[in-house]
Amino acid sequence: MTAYSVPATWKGEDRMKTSTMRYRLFLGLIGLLLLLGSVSGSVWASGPSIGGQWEAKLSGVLDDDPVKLVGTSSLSIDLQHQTGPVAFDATLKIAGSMGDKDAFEFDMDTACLNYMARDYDIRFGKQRVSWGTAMGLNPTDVINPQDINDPLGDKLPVWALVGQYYLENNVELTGVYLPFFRPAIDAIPTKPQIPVYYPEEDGEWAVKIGALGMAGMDFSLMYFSGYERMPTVRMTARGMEGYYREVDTIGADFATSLGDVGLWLEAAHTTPKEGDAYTNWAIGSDYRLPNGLLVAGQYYHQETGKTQHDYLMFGLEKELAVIHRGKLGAVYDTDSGSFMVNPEVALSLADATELVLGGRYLDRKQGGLGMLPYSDKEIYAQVVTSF
Amino acid sequence: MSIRLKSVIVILTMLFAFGCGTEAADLTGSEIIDRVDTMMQSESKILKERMIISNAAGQQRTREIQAWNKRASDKDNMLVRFLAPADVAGTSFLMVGDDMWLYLPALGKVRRIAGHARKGSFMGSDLSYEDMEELGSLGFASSYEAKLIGTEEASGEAVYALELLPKAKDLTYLKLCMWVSQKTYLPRRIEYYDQDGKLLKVLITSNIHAVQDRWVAGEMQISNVQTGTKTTLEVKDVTFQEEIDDSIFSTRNLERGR
Repeated sequence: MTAYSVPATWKGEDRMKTSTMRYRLFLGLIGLLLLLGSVSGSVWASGPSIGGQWEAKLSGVLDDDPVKLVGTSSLSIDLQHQTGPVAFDATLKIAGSMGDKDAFEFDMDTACLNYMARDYDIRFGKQRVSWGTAMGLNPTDVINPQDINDPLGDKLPVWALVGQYYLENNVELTGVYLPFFRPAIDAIPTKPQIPVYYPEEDGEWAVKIGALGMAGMDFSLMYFSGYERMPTVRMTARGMEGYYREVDTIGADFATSLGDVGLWLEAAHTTPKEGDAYTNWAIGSDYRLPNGLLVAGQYYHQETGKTQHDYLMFGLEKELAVIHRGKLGAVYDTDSGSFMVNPEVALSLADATELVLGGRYLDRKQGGLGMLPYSDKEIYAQVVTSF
Repeated sequence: MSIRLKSVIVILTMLFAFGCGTEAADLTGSEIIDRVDTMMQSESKILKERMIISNAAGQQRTREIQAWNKRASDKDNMLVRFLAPADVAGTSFLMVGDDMWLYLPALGKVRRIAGHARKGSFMGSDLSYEDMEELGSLGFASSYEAKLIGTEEASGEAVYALELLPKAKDLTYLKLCMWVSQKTYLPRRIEYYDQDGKLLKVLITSNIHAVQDRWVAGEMQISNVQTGTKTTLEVKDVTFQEEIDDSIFSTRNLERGR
C-alpha cells in the first residue's frame, strides 16, 4: 500500500498570495457580499450556529505480522451565520494520529460566503462543488481534485466562485470559476525525483445546465475548461518532467425511475490539448426489496488517455433493528479480476452517536485496483458523534 | 378548490361533528370517509413534529422535523427537513407529485430517490410515504372503498367502525379497519392488514384538540405488531391554509436549506 504525499500547503495557496490582482478581486467580492448583506437588512437572520463532528477510529492492519494498530482522530467544527441574503459557513478540522500529538494538523477545510437572491446564488470561497448522478465515482465531477489517499471519500476543497441561476421548473444554470489550480497530486508517485510543473496560467472554468423532475427525469449537461488533476510525464529539452495537460471536458448525466427501479447514467468526454481524447462513463441502478434491503449496482468505465479500466460496483444497505444500519460495498476490476469488499455495521449508541464496525478486504491481481490505496486486509472500529 | 371554500367545508364538517350526532347512524361508509378526509386534508400545512422511533428492544431515538405540505391541482407537494439530532440535521426530502429527491448535507447534492421509496419507511419510522400521504393531503377516499360495519363505544367515545378495501390492486395493504370519532371525524384507531391478511400496523391517535377551526391529533402512535417497533409522532406546532410559495417545493430550496 502506498500513501501518496499531498503537501499540507499546496502550491496554489502560495500562489494566492502572489497573484495580487486576483487576490484583490476576491477581497473585493467578499466586501461586496458583506455590503449587500448589511444594506439588505435582517430580513431573516440565523445563527451564528456552531456544530460539528468528532470521530475516533482504531484500525487493525492485518497485512502486517504482528497486526499493526493505527489510531486516528478528527474534530470538525461547522460555523454558520446568516444576515439577510448573505450567509457564511466554514468547517475547521483538526485531525491526526492518536499517540502522536505532533501529528495533529489544523486545516480550514471549507470557508464560504453566500449571497442568496430569489433567482440566483453566488458562492465564493474554499468549497466542494459536487456534480453527477452516479454512485461514488462521478465522471462529470471534475471541479475538485480527488483525495488520492481516500478516492471514495470527500474530494479536496478548492477556491472557487460559483454562480447559480434558477429558472422555472427546477431548471438551473451553474457557472464555476477556479482562480487557483489545485491538483490531486504534485509529484509522480512512482518517480518522485521527476519535477512536476504547474500550469503557467491558473484560471479554469465550468458551466452546467441541469433540469430536475422534467417528465420524471433529472438530467444535466456540463462543460469544463481547465487542467487534468493528475500529472503526465513528458520528455523535454530539460529532461523528463511532469505537467498537467490542458483539457476540455463535456459531460452529461441522467437519472430516472422505471417503476420501482432507479436508473442513472453519467458520461464525460475529455479532449486534452496533447494526446488522445478519452471518455469516462458510469451506468447504474438501485432497487429496494420488500424487506427493506437496498441493492445498488454500477458499471464504471475509466480512461485516462493512457490506461483504461472497467469496474463493477455493488452496494447493499439495510436498517437493522430500526436504529442501526448494515452496509456492504464491493468493487470488482473486470480487467485484472481484482476485487474489494467492505462490510460495515453502524450501531446507534445514542441520538447523534454511532459506533461503526467494519472490515476491508482487497484481493489485488496484476496490479489491479491501484486507484484504491487502502490496506489489503483491515478491520476497524470508529466512534462518530455529532453535536 | 380555493382555500376559502375548503375552510367553509371544514367548518361545516365541524358543525356536523358538534351538533348532528343523531344523524350519525344514517351516514354511509363513503360519506364518513369523505368527512374524515375533509377534516384531515388541507390545501396547505406547516408542521413541526417530534418523532420518537423505538425498536423491539425498546431502544429509542428522537428526531425533530419540520414539514411543508401543499396540494396543487392533482399533485401533492411535500418538503421535510430534519432539525435534530445533529447527525441528521439539514437532511431534507422533497416530494413533488411522483418525483422524490433527498438532500444530504454531507453529500452536498440533491439525489433522486427511485419510486420504490414511496412504499418504504418514512424517515425510519413505521409509516410509509404512502401512509403519510393518506393521513395528510391525499386522504383515504381516493384509494379505498369504505364500508360502515357499525357503531361502537371506544374509551368512552362513540365511534364508527369502517372497513376500507383498496380500489386498486397495487396498494400495499389488503385492507384497513378504521374507527372514526363521531364527534371529530378523526380516525382514533387504524389497523393495517398485509397482503396475507395478517395485522401489520396499528395507528392510535390521542391528544385531540382544535387548531384553526379543525380537529387535530396532537399525538399519533404507530406500532408494527409484526416487528415490535413503534413510532410516536408528537405535533409541536401546526398551521393550516397558510400561503406557501411554490418555490418552497423546489430543488433549489432543498439545496439552500432554508
